[in-house]
Amino acid sequence: MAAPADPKKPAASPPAPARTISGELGVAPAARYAGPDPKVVCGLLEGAGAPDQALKVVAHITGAPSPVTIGSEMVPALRGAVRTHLDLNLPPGEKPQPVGGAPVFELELALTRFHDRAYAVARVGPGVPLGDSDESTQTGLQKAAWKLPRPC
Amino acid sequence: MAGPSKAGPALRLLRKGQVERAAEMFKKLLQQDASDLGCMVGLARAHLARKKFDEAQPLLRQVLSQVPDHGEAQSHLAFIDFQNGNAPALDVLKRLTLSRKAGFFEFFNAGTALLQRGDDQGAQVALERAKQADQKSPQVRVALAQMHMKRGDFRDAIAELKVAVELAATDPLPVLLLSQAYAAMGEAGHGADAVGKALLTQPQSAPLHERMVEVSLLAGWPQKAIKSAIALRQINRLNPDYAYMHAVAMLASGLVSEARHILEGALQKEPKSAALRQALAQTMRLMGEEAKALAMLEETAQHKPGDPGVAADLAVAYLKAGDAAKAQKVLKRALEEHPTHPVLLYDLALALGKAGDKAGARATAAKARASTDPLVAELAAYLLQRLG
Repeated sequence: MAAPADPKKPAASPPAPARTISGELGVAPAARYAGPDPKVVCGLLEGAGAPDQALKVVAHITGAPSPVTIGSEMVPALRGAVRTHLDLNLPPGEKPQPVGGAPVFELELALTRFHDRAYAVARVGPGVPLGDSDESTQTGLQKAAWKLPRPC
Repeated sequence: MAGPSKAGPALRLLRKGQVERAAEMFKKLLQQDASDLGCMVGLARAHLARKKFDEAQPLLRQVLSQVPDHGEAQSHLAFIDFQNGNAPALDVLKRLTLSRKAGFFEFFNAGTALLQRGDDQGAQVALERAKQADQKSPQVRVALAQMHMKRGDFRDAIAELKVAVELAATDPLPVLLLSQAYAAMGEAGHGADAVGKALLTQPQSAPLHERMVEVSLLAGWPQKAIKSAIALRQINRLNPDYAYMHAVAMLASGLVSEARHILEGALQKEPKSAALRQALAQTMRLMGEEAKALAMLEETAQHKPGDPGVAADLAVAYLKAGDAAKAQKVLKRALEEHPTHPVLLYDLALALGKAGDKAGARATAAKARASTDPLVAELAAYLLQRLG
């Protein structure tokens, strides 16, 4: 005879579907992909020269090509490249809002902040003698001499 | 005469990037000795680092009232004037660089102002002098690299940025620029290596992981892209862009049904995204669901007729069905918004060729051949050959 269920223990829940490492629900084995290799080739939509512009990487899915007949020739048509970032659908001039509490990284702003940090982190003295600093008017030799044991 | 300045410890804090704490310490020291020049200069620097020009100005004037030839203070004041729209202040900045005693800030301020004015040549001279004055300034290296990148001298930019990365090891910006320069050189793998190295010290940096996804995909290393996309989703589970990047990386790795699954989940959060709907339609097509894919593309094109990806995919579907006129219509509509889009131009050349307009096809294919995307350029060159 089966032991009575412990009323203090919660009832056993049905097994949850397997999740991938990223938290996605696992895909059922029946839905496993058996189509052509997508053969993704990535490229830059525009040259990456401008240092204040984001990289615009796109992915061409060249698997299962669609050839187009021109006269007697077969030439592959090119599907639209898939972008590597979502389109934000923002009105012109509007900036993206933070998602999930994380601030949005803006390259231009980051460049300005980085530049301005030069005023803080520059390793040059203030142009006046310092009493307690590496920029003291004392030479390295003088400082070392100060630390040496004094002659009796 | 006043004794030596007590600014040393606060200056050290400032150099470590602890600007707020340093500013507080300078203020306290100035309360004890209002004539401490070192503290005045230090506090002015802290204000400049936070763009608090109005607070820096009186301090700098005070420095000049005690030491009228203090080059740094003169330079900062002229720089603030220039930022406030006083164009002749640029001449003062230039003149200060000619002094035998000119130091780092005289050159740095002049270089920055010249760059803002558009005098790249003059800016480069000033910034090179600033580099000589402080070899360990990552900001000067980045400024010089930006100028090299603007001119297309990516090798020189890479050399400067490599040093900047070492000097500012906890800041993602130099690495982002370095990977961009490598990508522009067609050496995305080196870019991925640099980003990977930076991620060892900044594992929670979202901009670095985003860049890792981009450069790894460019380099043909989708597994690395997947790893960073997963990291991004762990950093911010609510951002649909990160789920989308994950799906693209999975697609690049050949994991089509997994990518579709992620895209379907993201579509619930971003139902209007054309990029997402286009990628989803591509997975549907790969899985043999052509009608479903076409319906999704047509629906998306109604809302966003100018979207280049959706227009190109629709055009290919129409061309496959033998309807060159319909293909031309969607492509021309999208080209109104993106007149130089390489894939749109290439497909339009095909559609024109199929409709018998060889001259139009040749002219359009020639435009597509100029693309920086090697795949489009190669296919356009092939099409031009076929067109004769």
